[in-house]
Amino acid sequence: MESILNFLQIFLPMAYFLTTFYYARFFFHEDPAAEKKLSWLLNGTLILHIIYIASWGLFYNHYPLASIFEVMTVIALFIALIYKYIETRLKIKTTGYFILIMAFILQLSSSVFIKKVDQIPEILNSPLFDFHSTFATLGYSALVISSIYSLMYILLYHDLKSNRFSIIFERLPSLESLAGMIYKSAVLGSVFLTLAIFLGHVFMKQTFNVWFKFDFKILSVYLVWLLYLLEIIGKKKFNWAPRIMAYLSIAGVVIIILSVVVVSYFIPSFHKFQ
Amino acid sequence: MKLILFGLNHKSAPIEIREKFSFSPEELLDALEKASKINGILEVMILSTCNRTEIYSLLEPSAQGMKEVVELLYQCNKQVDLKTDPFYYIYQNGDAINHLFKVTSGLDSLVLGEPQIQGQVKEAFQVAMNVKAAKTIFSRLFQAAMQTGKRVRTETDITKGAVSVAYAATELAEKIFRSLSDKSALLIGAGETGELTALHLKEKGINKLYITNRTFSKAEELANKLDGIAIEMENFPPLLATVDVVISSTGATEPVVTPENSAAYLEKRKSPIFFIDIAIPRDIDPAIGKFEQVFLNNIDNLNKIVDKNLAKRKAEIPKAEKIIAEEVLNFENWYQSLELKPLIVELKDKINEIRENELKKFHNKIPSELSSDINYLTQRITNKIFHHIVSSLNGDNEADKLAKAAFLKEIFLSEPNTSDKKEH
Repeated sequence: MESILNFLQIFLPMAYFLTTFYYARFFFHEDPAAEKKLSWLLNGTLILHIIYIASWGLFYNHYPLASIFEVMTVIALFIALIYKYIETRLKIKTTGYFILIMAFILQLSSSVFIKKVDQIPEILNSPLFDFHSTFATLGYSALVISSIYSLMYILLYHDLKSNRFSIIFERLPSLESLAGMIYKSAVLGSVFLTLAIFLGHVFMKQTFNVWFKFDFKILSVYLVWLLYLLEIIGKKKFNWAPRIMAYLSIAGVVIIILSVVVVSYFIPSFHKFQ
Repeated sequence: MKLILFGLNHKSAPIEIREKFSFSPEELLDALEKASKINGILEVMILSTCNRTEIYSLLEPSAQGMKEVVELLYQCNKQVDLKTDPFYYIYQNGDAINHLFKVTSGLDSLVLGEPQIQGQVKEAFQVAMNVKAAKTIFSRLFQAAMQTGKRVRTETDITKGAVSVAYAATELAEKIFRSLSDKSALLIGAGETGELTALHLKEKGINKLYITNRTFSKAEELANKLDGIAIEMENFPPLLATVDVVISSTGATEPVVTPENSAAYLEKRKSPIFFIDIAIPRDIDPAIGKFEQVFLNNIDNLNKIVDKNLAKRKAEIPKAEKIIAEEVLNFENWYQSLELKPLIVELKDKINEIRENELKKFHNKIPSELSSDINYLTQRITNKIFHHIVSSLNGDNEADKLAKAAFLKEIFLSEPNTSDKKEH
């Protein structure tokens, strides 16, 4: 089992690199030969990644969220999985490069720095906690995707506004499609985050016998959750321009990244499971 | 093969000459009929469009070539002096096929890669086949031309990207909106490019089209033509709050859409509005572009897209030419196999004749019970030998193939030299 894990630890970033490379070829060169390979490359990478995460969990006997680098590989998988879902639903492959490069960077960082966590906190063995953390990472992943689509939207918006007909204009889907993708992934992320917050509080009650405990991470999650709620309400109730939604999505992800880094390295938190 | 193409097109001849050589549908039928009566012409096809007239003729091997084609032109009152007139081109055999395939693929069109020509070639062949001017060879040539056109269009990007201002405007609209089927458009002015753009938007499924013009009757006329709704010029500004695409192509000297008459409606907008200004001087005040939801494009921007797409199409020419060269070779191989067919039949007969003669010689010496077995055995042997001979003719190299055919003809089909027989 260890040799499989070691092999996948090295091979997975390579698989993500290859998949991202072919998506890049398709995006920049409209290469039909590259397009034909995209599906099986992404499916193959996803299967390997699922095997890797499952093997890691079985071999080290814990849900792989005990360190920031374990979280990174899980987020990389969820980003790729959610992207696969969106690609299959909308049949648009030109945005894959921008999403999968993120999954590649996360997996590469994880593979380089990940190591066995010697002391696993007791709470990581709770099934309720597993659900809480799964929904949280799924939520984060969807929101990362939403922010990437937001970035694409802003780039295309400026291209169209300034009559610059660059490759962004040529290869990205329409502004309306991107706005739809931002909204859909934001809704998906919000739903997962809501479930994660709810289960987190239930778990807190079970473990610490309180419904709420002050923690920087919880505060940041609430902030992100409120931002996305605002985005969804703004779109539904007040028909906000997609550009506002795009900026909110990007702000949300910046907060997520900052909170993960700050909690991991600078601030004591009970969300630091090591 | 003796295939000759006589033609002139937008590159070789000015419009005054092209006019003289163009064939109306009636003239075309008449010409095909006349061609079938000219000695030496086996099959003929005439392609006559606004940009080209081309006569493809398959001639008997004994025919003189251009003489028969000039005769046909003369009979159709289209005189040409091959020595002095500079406006035509003549291609023969492989070059003629290559040219036809280029034409069908849109490589020789005024707008590179335009698809309309494929339909025109198809129609020209069908007319010729209907009156029996095109027969077996041209029927196959037609299939090969269509196949080449299809391959070039699917295997290259020669038809990709808008190469007209009207199409570029539609392409831009598709970069803003996911689908045009739930969108509405407003056409200001009844100019030709504006009408064409509106027509393309209609083809893309735009839901509702409003048309306005200084002369209301013209707006009504166009509305009837495009299945749109005519509105008075002074009533269009409120529509800017709801329509998704605005195409403007009036002859006005001052802007028609200004912040003064449209700001109130554009400020309120929550969804994008795409302005296409194809008028010179411009109809839409550039200040309109500052509104959050406004995407404004003028004729220069659209031309930039057209130029970029044309350059991309040009870059696809080598790929298309490679496909054409392959298909020309395929056709020539097929044609060569037709030329070899009589030789193969003759060879088979000759080998069979040798077998039967030898069997006859030994007829009395073979026991009757073995006769059918020996007959079967010799037939198998000759079939195997024949199979090897025919296989040797299936090569890629035309010169080799013809040399082998000549050699086989020499061995099997020429009269035996008596001096060879003396030793027997």
